[in-house]
Amino acid sequence: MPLPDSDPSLSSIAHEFKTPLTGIQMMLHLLAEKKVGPLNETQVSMIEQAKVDCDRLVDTIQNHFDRKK
Amino acid sequence: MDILIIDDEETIRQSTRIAVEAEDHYAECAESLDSARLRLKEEKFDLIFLDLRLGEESGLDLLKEIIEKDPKQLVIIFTAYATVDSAVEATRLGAYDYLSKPFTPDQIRGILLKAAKASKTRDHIKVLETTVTELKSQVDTSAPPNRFESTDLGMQSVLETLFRAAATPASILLLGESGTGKSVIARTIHENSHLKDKPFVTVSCPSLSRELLESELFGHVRGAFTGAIKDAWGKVHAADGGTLFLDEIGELPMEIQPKLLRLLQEREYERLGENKTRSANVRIIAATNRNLKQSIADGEFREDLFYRINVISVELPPLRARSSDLLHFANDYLDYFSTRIGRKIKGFSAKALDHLRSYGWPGNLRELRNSIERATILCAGDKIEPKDLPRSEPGSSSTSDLVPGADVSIEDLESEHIKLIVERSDNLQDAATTLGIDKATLYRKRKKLNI
Repeated sequence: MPLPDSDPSLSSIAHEFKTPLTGIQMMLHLLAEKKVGPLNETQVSMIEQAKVDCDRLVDTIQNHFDRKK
Repeated sequence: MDILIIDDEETIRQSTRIAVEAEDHYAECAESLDSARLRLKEEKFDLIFLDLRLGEESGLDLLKEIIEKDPKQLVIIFTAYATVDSAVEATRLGAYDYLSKPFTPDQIRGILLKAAKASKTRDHIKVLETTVTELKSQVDTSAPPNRFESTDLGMQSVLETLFRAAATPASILLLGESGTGKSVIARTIHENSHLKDKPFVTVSCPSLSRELLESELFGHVRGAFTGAIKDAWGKVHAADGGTLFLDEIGELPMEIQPKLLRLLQEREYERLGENKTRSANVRIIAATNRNLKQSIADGEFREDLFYRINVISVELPPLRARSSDLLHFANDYLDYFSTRIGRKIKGFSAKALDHLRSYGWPGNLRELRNSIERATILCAGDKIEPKDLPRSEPGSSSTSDLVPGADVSIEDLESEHIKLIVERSDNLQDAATTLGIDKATLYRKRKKLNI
């Protein structure tokens, strides 16, 4: 069954960005929530910064593809 | 919930699994549609996370297969294509909901809560569906509300034992002639037990061939036998957590008996044509009109299975041994059928009452119910008369021994003959004429024979 979408090239680019970003975002959030074990202060701070950057990247990509749709 | 995560990205599978397990659910992963198909064939999952695109494969293909097999299966689609088109298409095909990539553990938690509620509702619907089916079959048999009070001492003791045992998980074996109300009692035990909100599922052992009975009990996979065109769950699965009533267990084929024994002992079974071991926790109530000890001696019933189901065993007395209850039942049935048919019938004539008491009722309550229904329809006056009721025929009742040539005394034979002639005669003079004796002799004989 063909995958539904109006613009195949745009869909493919969106998929290529969003798929790896899902793994990164999920793992950063799980680490920050300490679901996989305790963290020291430095690790917490580093992960929080990475989360901020990741969230920024997510917003950028979502805005970009929302505008294009 | 048991959850399957299907995605070709290792990071997404792993992180989703951690998020799911952190909420106390069980999670398994599959990295391709083929490996997912294999797991889905072996196991039932409460919820499936399915990626819309796995490399060159489309998750919608698997979604279609899943929904075709079980339209109520909860599937959440992961999609990086957050367009209306893809979401609408997935929902149209039967997906419960979708999550747009990139998502967060918070979103996973939100959807898990929503799906858990839906899963609970789905289980509740399953129980209700089973209950409706059972109630429908009860309605189809057209009977008045069941009477569980008894003035008969033997029956009182049986009911006391059963109501005490109902609240325990013990297996119960109901013995008794056909028509003594074993099925009705089985349902009542369930309704008075701690499992009353769980399914009550009936399997009639003699009604099917061995293969179909095994499939009805344990389920099967596609191709297990001719005509098995798709996978199916059996009644053991449907009764999981509740009560499984095995009617006429004495007819259970020997080949199936070890499988039932294993279910009772280990709570394990396999579907027909499949090696995967599954588990189910059911309370067994079994019924039979056979002498199971004789069946064991004849090599037709396993002794170990007998002892496993015979934890609490009661024998329901035949109707002819419950003369004090018989008239209550007869009046209940008469009230019910006269209302249903719309006839004003005042009751039974004195002779009809005598007839009810003297008749053997070999078919027990079932026969009484059918006879009263027939009598209500055919009765010419406003009272049921003996002619409206069934007559004793040789070999069909407790009077079956009282026939010429049988091992009975002349006095018993004479007594039975006089009783039958008096019943069907309009008056004693007619009865005396038929018997070839005068009325005074008939009086004497009746007094002597206590008729």
